Amino acid sequence: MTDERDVLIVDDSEECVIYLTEILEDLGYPFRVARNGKAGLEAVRTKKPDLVLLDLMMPQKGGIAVYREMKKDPELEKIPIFIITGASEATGVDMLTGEPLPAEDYGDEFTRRFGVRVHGQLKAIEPDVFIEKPIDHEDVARRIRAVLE
Amino acid sequence: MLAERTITRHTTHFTGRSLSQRTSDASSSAFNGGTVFMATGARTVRWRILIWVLPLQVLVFAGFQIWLANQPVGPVETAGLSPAETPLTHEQMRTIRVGSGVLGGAVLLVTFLTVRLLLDRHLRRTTRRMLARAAAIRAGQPHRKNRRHRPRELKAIADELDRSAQRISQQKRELRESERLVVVGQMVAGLSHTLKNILNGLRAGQFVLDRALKTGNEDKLHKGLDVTRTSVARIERLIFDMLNYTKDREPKREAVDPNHVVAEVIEELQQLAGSWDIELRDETDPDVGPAALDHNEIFRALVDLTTNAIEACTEGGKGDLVALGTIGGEDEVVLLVEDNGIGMTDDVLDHLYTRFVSTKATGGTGLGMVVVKKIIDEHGGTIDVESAPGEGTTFRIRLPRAMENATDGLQEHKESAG
Repeated sequence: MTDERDVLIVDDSEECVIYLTEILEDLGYPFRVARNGKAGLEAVRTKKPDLVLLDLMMPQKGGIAVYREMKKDPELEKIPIFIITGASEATGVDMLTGEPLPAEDYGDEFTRRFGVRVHGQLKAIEPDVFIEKPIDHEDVARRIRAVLE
Repeated sequence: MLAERTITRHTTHFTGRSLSQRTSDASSSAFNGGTVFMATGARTVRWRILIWVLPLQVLVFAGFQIWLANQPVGPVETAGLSPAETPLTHEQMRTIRVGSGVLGGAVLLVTFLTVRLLLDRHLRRTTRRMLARAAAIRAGQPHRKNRRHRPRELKAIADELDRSAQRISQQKRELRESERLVVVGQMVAGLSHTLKNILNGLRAGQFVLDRALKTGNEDKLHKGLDVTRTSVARIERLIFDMLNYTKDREPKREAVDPNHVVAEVIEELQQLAGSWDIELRDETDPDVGPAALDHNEIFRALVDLTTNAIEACTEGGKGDLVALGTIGGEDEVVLLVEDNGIGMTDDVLDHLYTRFVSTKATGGTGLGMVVVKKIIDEHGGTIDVESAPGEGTTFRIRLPRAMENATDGLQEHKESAG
């Protein structure tokens, strides 16, 4: 069964791609890699993957835009998406702007669900799994297996 | 002041009590309390003593009249009395009464007017002083506490002013502290974000190395080592950037030929650009002329910008050319770093100089552009950027020549270049 599974990595970071491909190799799942959001969407449309590992900050098209377009498309909306980010915050500062986060962004549903604090546009998305950097390969491997088997 | 002293002496005489006796209860005296007030250690008695002058004068005058009224009035035939002791006649009595009445009235009037005058002056001065202090509070100058205000109503206003000033300075302190915490928070958040990314690379390397050892795959071994090396280099870079960012220093200005710095930068990065098939082009103006610059700092800034330009070329756009140029102006030199790479969106441009925000795929420290800007600022120069997504980016640095600040360094660099 596992041989037929196809995982798509959409990430521009060299080390992240190496890390994720190594994890997938170790699990024995075939994978494809797209280095930006635009290429990611093309790859998804060319062949439907069984799982998308999606980075947030990328050139051309960011992860949030890819997420939204996939969820809008009835063909693609069922594909599970893992969001990979270092942008989640525990210190009350928005990583993208350097501005302090308003107090009401703490302790909300999103935080309880994913165990990380995010704000603004990140709260508008609901990925199946939120993977925070630095990646814990055992945890990620377990989650990938849980989705694919 | 002279008038005050004079009246004070009078009063002392009239009341018949010693000043030192009155000073003891002066501190608790109220506006209408009627005790003479004397400041501790002060030479002059306060204006409040004047409040006693009028009633005392009235009392003395009335007493005198009563005494006069009780004098026997003549002529009376009394045996045994000498002519000097003869009681006053009615005529004499009337003259004394009218005379003392006129005199007493005049003294009372003069006293009343003096008291009013002094009181007015005191109120004016006190009010003016308080106004000046209120203005000082508004201007944010350090507040001197109000000390000597009388009467009580003015004192109350002065105290209220003191409390306001205190509150304001306390709020200022609190604001500074919370601003400091925000900055510290941003630094910590940014730093932990960058460190998380570096740690991610180290974990990746570790995992790949681990698997390489398990599978005996030599290619993987190299891959794992490469990832680890990159992460270690990023930590070194981060420490260097952080130290540069926090260091507050004057540039070591020396006469520098900007074209020479550009040539050094091209030499430094030729290999990196070549490995991506990117041309590093020298577009310097041969007549640019020297400027007083910190050679090492400007070299560093240009290396950073050019490295960014090369990376932008690897990520998109036409991506085959990075050009470094110079333009000589009368009072300034212009340095240009131009690429036809991926370009920047408005969002990236907005956070170009924000600490710890990096969009680099290879993982920046998020301090590179911040340090570049700091170097240019320290030189009294400006940096602007034009960028279009998919078309490329141009950085334009303007630096004042400031040759009057230069130490003689041009010769030395020319020699070392040769």
